[in-house]
Amino acid sequence: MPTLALPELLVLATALVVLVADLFVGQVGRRQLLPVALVGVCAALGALLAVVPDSGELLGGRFAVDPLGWWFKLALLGAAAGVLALAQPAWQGDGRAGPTLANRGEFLAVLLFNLAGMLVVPSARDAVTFYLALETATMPLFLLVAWRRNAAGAEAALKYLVVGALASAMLLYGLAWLYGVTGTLDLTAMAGRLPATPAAYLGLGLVVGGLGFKLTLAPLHFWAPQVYAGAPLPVAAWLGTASKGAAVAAVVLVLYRVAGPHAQGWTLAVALLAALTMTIGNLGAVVQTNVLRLLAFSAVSQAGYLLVGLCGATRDGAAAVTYYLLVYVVTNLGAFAAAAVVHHHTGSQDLAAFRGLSRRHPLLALAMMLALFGLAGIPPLGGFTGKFFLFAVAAQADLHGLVAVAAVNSTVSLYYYLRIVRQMYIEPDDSAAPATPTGLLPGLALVTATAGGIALGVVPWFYETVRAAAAGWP
Amino acid sequence: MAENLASGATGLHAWLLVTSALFSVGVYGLLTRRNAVGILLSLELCLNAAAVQFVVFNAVRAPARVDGAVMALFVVAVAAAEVVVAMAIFVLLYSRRRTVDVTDLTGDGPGHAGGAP
Amino acid sequence: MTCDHSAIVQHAWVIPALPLLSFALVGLVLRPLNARLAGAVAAAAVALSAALGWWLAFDYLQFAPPAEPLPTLIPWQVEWLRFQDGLRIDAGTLLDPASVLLVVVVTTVSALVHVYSLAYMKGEPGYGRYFAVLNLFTFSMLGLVLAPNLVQMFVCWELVGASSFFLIGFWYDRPAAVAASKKAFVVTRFADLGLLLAILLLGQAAFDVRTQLGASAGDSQALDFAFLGRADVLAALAHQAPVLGGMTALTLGCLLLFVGGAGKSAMFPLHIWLPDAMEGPTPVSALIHAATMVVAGVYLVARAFPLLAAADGVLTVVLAVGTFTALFAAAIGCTQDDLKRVLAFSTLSQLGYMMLALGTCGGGDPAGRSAALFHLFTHAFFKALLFLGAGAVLHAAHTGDVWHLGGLRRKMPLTHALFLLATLAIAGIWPLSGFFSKDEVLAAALHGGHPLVFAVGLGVAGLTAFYMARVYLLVFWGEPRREASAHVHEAPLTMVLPMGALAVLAAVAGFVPVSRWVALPGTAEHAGIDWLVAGPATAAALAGFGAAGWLYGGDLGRSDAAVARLGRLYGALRHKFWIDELYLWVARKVMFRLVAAPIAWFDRMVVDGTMHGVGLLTRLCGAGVQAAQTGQAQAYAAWALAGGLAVVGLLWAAGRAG
Repeated sequence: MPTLALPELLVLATALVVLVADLFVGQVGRRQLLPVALVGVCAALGALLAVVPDSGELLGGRFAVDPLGWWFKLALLGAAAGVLALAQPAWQGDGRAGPTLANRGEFLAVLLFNLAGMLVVPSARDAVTFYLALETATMPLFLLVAWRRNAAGAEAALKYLVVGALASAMLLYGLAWLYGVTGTLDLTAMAGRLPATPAAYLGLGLVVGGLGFKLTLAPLHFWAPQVYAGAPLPVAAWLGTASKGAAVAAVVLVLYRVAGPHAQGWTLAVALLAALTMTIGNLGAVVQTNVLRLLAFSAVSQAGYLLVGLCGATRDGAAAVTYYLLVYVVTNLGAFAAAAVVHHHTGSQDLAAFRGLSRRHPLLALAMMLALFGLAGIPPLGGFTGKFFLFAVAAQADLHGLVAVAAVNSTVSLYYYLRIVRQMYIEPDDSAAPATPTGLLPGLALVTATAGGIALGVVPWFYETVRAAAAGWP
Repeated sequence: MAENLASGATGLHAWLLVTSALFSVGVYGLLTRRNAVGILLSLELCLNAAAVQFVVFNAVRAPARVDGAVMALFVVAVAAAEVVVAMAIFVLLYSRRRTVDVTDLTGDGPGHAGGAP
Repeated sequence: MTCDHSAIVQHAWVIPALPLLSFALVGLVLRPLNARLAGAVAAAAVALSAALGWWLAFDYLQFAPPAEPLPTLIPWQVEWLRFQDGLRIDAGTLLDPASVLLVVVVTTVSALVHVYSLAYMKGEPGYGRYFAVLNLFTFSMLGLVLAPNLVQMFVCWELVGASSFFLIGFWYDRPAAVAASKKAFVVTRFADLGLLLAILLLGQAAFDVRTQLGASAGDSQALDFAFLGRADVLAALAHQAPVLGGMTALTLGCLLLFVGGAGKSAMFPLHIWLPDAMEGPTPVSALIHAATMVVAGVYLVARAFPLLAAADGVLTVVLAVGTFTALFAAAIGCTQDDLKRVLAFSTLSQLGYMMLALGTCGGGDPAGRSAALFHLFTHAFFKALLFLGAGAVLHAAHTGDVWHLGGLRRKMPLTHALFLLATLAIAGIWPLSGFFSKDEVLAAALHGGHPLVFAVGLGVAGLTAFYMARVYLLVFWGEPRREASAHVHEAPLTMVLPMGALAVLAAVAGFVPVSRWVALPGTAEHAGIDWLVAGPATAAALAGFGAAGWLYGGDLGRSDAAVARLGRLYGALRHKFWIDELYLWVARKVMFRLVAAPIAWFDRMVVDGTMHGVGLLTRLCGAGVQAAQTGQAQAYAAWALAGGLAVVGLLWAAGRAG
C-alpha cells in the first residue's frame, strides 16, 4: 500500500529532481527550481488530502498512519509550502538581504530531505525508524543554518551542532535503556512492558531531554536566538515551524504511545518544564531588539504552551496539542513571512525596520499584526482558541498553578508582540524605504496564513475534527 | 561473547558499567574539549556507548531477534553522516574565523550586544 | 406558510447585507484607491437596497386582503448565540408592518442622502471614509429595524451609535466636531446602559416565565419579540413579585428600556447631544439625526409596545416626557440663530410628538402607536428635505447663521421652492403629509382622554409653524444681510434631484394609509379627517405663520422689540434653559472633582506605579535571561544535560512518591 507513504515519496522524488536539475540548469534556470520544489510539496499535500487514508500500516507495522499523525503531516507539509513561498525573495535575491540562496541550489534538496524525515516522525512505530527519522529531521538543519557561509551562520551552526550532538547522544542512550528494560524496539509494545524502575526513568528522561532540544524546551533552548538570527531567514522560519512540528510529533509519540500508561509519573515533570520554558521564553523576548531573536524566544515560549496540553495524557490533550500546533504553524508562518518581506527590502533584522510599515504597506502590516495577535492569543484568532483548549487541559488535570503561570505569561508576551505593532502603527515612517512589494509567493503565503489563523479561530469544524481524530488516544 | 553475556546478570552489569563509563567519558569530553574536532570525537564515544548497549541488551533481553544489533548498525551510519555534516561546518568556520576553538566563540549572534559582526 | 413567500420576502436579509458588503468593499479596498469610485459604489449599493426595500413593501402588502391585518413573519433566521435552551439568540429578519415601513424609510432616505452627498462632500479629504461609514450606518439601522429579538436590536443599536459618533466627528480636525461627537457618544452610551440593563432584567424575568410555561412555550426564545408580545407571557410577567421599590421586573425593565429609547431619540433631559451633533456634515444630520437613527427610540417603544402597555404607568412616563420635550424644544427652536440648530430643535420637538402619541395609549386604545409610526414616516421625508435644503444653503453660502443670510429665493429658486414645501409640510398644512400625521397624533391625544396634552400639542403645532416660518423668511426673503449670502448660486443637480424626490414623498406620504397597516388589533377605526382636531391644528399653524410673518416678514425692528419685551424668558430660551451648563457643572464640579480626581490619583500613583514596577521587574528578568546567553556552546550543552537529568530526577521522584 504505497499510497500510505505517497507524500513522503513525492517529497523525496522532488528532492532528487531538484538535486539533479540543479546540475544541469544554468544560473537563470536555477531560479525556477523553487517553484518546482513548491509544486512538489503541494503535490504531496494534495496526495495527503486526497489519497492517504487516515489509518494504515506499512513495512510490517514500522510505518503507520493514524488520524492524528495525518494532521501532523498536514501541518508539516503546510509549513514546508509556506516556507518555500516566503523564501522566494531570498532565493531570487534581488533585495538588500545579502547573497541569494539560489547560488547554492542544493538548498532545496537538503530542505526537502529534511522534510521527508520530519514526515516520517509521526508515522514511526519502532525505535529504529523513529531514530532515523529524527536524525534526518535534525542533521540537515545544521547545514541549512550555515547556508550563507558567513561567519555568523557558521558560528550559529557550530553551537547548534554542539548542543544538538549532546541531545542526540542523550536520545540514543535513552532509547538504549528503554530497549533494555522492555526488550523490544516496537514502540507500542514498549508501552505495555515499561516497568516503573529507575532504569526506565533514566531512559525516558533522557529521551524527553533529547527531544526537548528540538522543541527548544528550557534549559535546552540556549542555541535558539543565535541560530534564528544567524541562519538565512527562510531557515529560521523552517526551524520555527516545521522543525518544531516534528519535535511535537516526536514528544507526543514518546509520551503518549510509549509512556502513556505512566502519565501520572511524568505529568509533574512536563508541567514544570512547560512553566519554565514559557517563562524563560517570554522574559527573554521582552528585551530583544532583533526581530528574529524575538521570534526565537517567542518560539521557546510557544513550546512551553504546547507542553501544557500534554499534561495528563488525555484525549483532549492530544487534540489540543495537535490543534495548537496547526494554529502555531500557520500564525508563525504569517509572522515570518512578513518579517521576510521586510528583511528583504531593508536588509535589517532590527525591530526598527518595521517603523511606519502601516503607511508603506498597510496590508502587510495588518497581516503581521494579526499574526502577532494570534501568537499572543487574542480572540477571535486561532491563537486564542488554541491556548484556551491547552489551558483547559491543564485545568482538567488540576494543575491550576500552571494555568495561572500560563495566563501571566500570555500577558507578558503581549508586551513584546505589541512592541512590533507599535513600530508598525504608531512610530512615524521616517525611513526612506520605498513601497514594499511583497512578491507573488510571499504574498500568497501571507494571505493564506492570515486567513488560516482567522479561520482556525472562528470555524469550530477544525477543532472538532481534530478532536475526533484523537479518538484513539488515551 | 554472546554466550558469556547470556550467562547471567553479572555479565550484564559489567557490560553496562563499560557502556556507562564510555558514555560518561564522551559527555565529559563533549563538555570540556575546546577543539571542535575533539567534541566530535567525544560525540562518537557517546554514540558508540549507546550502540554497544543496544547489542548487549539484544543479546541478554531478546536473544531470539537481531533488532538491537540492527539498531547498532544504523547508529554507525548516522554517526558517519554526523561527522560529514560537522566537518563541513568546522571547515567553514575555520575559513571564516581561523579557529575551531569553541570557547573563542563568545558572541550571541547578530542583533545582540557583543554578538559577532 | 414559508414556502409561498415571494423571493424578496424570503431573502429580505439581502437588504441590510448589501450596505454591509459595500461597507467592506468601500472601506477596505476602494477607499484608498479611488474616492469617486468608492462614493459611487456606496451610493449604488444603497440605491439597490432601496429598490429591494420598495419591492419588499409591495410584495409584503399583498399578503392580506384589505380587511385583515398584515402578518408577522420571520422568513429567515440563523442561530447566533446559545446560552441555554430558551435563551438562544438568533440573527434574523422580522417582517411586520412597522419594520417594513422603517425599511422603506431608511433605505429611501439613505439612498437619497448618498446621492446628495456625492456632490455635497466633493473634495473632502475623507470622501471614501464618509461613504464607508454611511454604508455601515445603513446596514446597522436596517439590522436594528429587522431585529427579531432584543439582543440583535441592541447590537445594531450600538452600531448605529458608533457610526453616528464617527460621522459627527467626521471633521476630526475641528475641536467643536470632536467635542460634539464625544458628547453624543457619552450621552447616548449612558442611556444605552439603561437598555442593556432592561434586556438583562427582562431576559431573566421572561426566561423564568418561559420555564413556568413549560411545553407551551414552544420553540420561542425568551428575548424574542414574538415571545415577549404573547398575552399569557405578559400576564405572567405582570404578576411576578416586585424586584425593586415595589416595581415588578416588567415595570422596571420597561422604564429602563424607555431610558435607552429616550437617549437615542434625545428626549428631555437626555436631549443635549442632538443640537451639538449638527457639527457633522449636513447630509448626515438629515439621515441620522433627523430621519432614521433618532427615531430608533420611538421604534423601540413601538416594537416593545405590548410590554410597555402591560407595565404599570410606564406609558404615562412616556407621555409626560414626550409632551414636555415637544413643547420645550419647540420653544427653544424659536430663538436659535443657526439654521441647522433650529432644525435640530424642531427634530427634538417632533420626536416628542411621536413619543407623546405612544404615551396616549395608556387607556387601552393603541391608536397612538399607529399615529406615532405614521408621523415617524412623514417626518422622515420632510425633515430630511429640510436638512438637505439647509445643506444646499450652507454649501452655497458657507454660513448657517440666519442673520447673515437673506434674500436667497432669487438666487436659489429650486431650493427655495423645496424648502417652502417642507416648511408647509412640517407645519401641517393640507394636503401635505404633516397635516395627516399630526392630525392623527392630536386625535389620539384627544380621544385617548388627555385634553391637556392635546392643548399642548396644539400649542406646539403653532410654535412649529412659527419657528419654521421665521427661519424660512429670514433665509429666503428680505435682502442679503452679509456679503457671503449675496453671491450664492443654485445647488448642483445631484443635490437638487434627491431633494425633489424627497419633496414628492413629503407631499404625498400623508395619503399612504400607514396607520391602518401598522394598527395593532383592537385599534379603533376612524374614517377620514377629524375636523374637530384638524381645524384647531390648522388654525394654530396659520397663527404661527401669521406671527412669524408679522415679526420677520417685513420690518425686523418689530422682532427686536418683541425680544426686548420678552426679556428674561427670551434669554432662558436662547440659552436652552442652561441645561448644557447644568450638565457641565455637575460633570466638572461633582463628578470630576469628587469622584474622578481621587480615582485618577489612585490610578496614577498606585495602579500605574505597580504596573511600572511590574514592567521594570519583567525587563530586569529578561535582561537576566539574556545574560545567560553567554555564547559558550559547551555551557549550553551542560544546561541541556542538566535539563535531561532533571527530567530523569523528576520522573524518579514521582515514581517513588507514587
